[in-house]
Amino acid sequence: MRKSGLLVISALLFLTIWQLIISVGNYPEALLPSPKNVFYAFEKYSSDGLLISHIGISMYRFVLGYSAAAILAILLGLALGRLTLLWGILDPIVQLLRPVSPIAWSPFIVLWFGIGNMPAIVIIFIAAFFPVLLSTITAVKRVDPLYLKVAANLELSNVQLIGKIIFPAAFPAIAGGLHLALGSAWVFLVAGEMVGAQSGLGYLIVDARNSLSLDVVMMAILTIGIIGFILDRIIHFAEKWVVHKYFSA
Amino acid sequence: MTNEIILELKNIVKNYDGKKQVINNISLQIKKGETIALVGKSGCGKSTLLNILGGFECVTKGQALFNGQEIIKPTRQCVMLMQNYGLLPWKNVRKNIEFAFEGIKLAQKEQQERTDYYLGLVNLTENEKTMPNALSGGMQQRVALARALVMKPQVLLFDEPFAALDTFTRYYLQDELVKIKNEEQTTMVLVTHDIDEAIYLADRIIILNQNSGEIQKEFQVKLSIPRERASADFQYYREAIFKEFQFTQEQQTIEFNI
Repeated sequence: MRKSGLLVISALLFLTIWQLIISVGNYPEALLPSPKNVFYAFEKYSSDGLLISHIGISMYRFVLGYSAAAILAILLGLALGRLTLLWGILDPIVQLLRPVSPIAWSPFIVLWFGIGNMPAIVIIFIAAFFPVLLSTITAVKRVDPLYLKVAANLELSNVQLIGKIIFPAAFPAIAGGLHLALGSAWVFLVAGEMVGAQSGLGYLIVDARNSLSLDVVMMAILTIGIIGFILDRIIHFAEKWVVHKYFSA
Repeated sequence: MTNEIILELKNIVKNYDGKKQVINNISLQIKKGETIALVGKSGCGKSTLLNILGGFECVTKGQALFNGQEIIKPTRQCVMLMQNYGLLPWKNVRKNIEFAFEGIKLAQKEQQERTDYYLGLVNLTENEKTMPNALSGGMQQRVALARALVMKPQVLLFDEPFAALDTFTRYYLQDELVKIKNEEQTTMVLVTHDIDEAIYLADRIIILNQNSGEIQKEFQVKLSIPRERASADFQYYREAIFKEFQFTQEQQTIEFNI
């Protein structure tokens, strides 16, 4: 209850500062749209269902790119965390690719995947992949050797070892990586949709800019922010729930 | 105890990366049902010896045999219990014990019966749904013990099993071990720092020498079980073993100041 009260105060503070900047600075609408006009834009785009359809297609790309990245990165991470020698060889390659912004790949992405949904999905995939991979590998390496000793004593197969011991033992750290990746993947959604997409929240920004509707641009920005915030809360609680259920008293 | 030999070390040598020899030419025969305590100062190689028996480490030279077969890897027949218990924190007490059935095919009913039996044996039936981190150290070690026992191993190896526990919990668990030893006839090898624990539990105490990596002395403990810690016989063994440790220390040369 107290938390939601704080949330309301913080939203009001945000709107007040925004309105004050406009009133005090006397900026024209064309430079910085007012909260009132952005609210009207919200109303208009909500009533004709356009906003929901843009959100829907963005979420679709996001969920697809993010979950593909998460699944592949966790599976690879579980294997590479165990195969120390192979990871020794691959590590420098990953470290070389990791700092490259997913957007830098966009010329190739359009060449290889065309336009439409794919570029955004691929960019989200790249953005989410490395944080999950690296946190999984680190988590696997840090699994208490005591558990490995127990597994050896039970004569578990490699698959059983990974599924029954290493994955659950590493899970809290992997969840941390998933959380981190969610944030960075969402950041790159907009950029991804500016590359060759004809729909989605990122496209909405480009399209509105082209027609100089800055109130719509601002509306899309706020929508992206709010969804990002909600996603973060959801994974935060999911993470807390799993850790609480399986890793504490 | 029978006369059948279950574990045998033949002139084993162990060194790490060609450095210092931790174990130097140790030979040892352990009979079925026997309880052996390995004692010695830190770094004398007693844990290494236990790891070799468990198949967690291999010998540099010599042979380690289990039922006449060379020990090459850990098996379900020879289970190690560790000071830090090794319970899986994401499973409750019952699930932790049942985890021992993971590698094998065993009827559900049999699994359940065995788990129930050993939960009872270690007095944890009421805590079967509790998560490990809500248990005291002593209780956690009892879960680990039950997990080892449901596997019905021929040998139990203990690496300082009660070192992290307070004195009374330790006494209590030592009594449990005596009880289990009577009921299950399991062969036990115990590494310990605690000389009282060794005398209380073991049929034979082996003192390892820290410097040479050899067996320094062997004691047969010829006391009936259960043993009385305060008895004169118990004190006799205590004194004998303590003396053994003192004699290994170099006598300080006396300095004369004129």
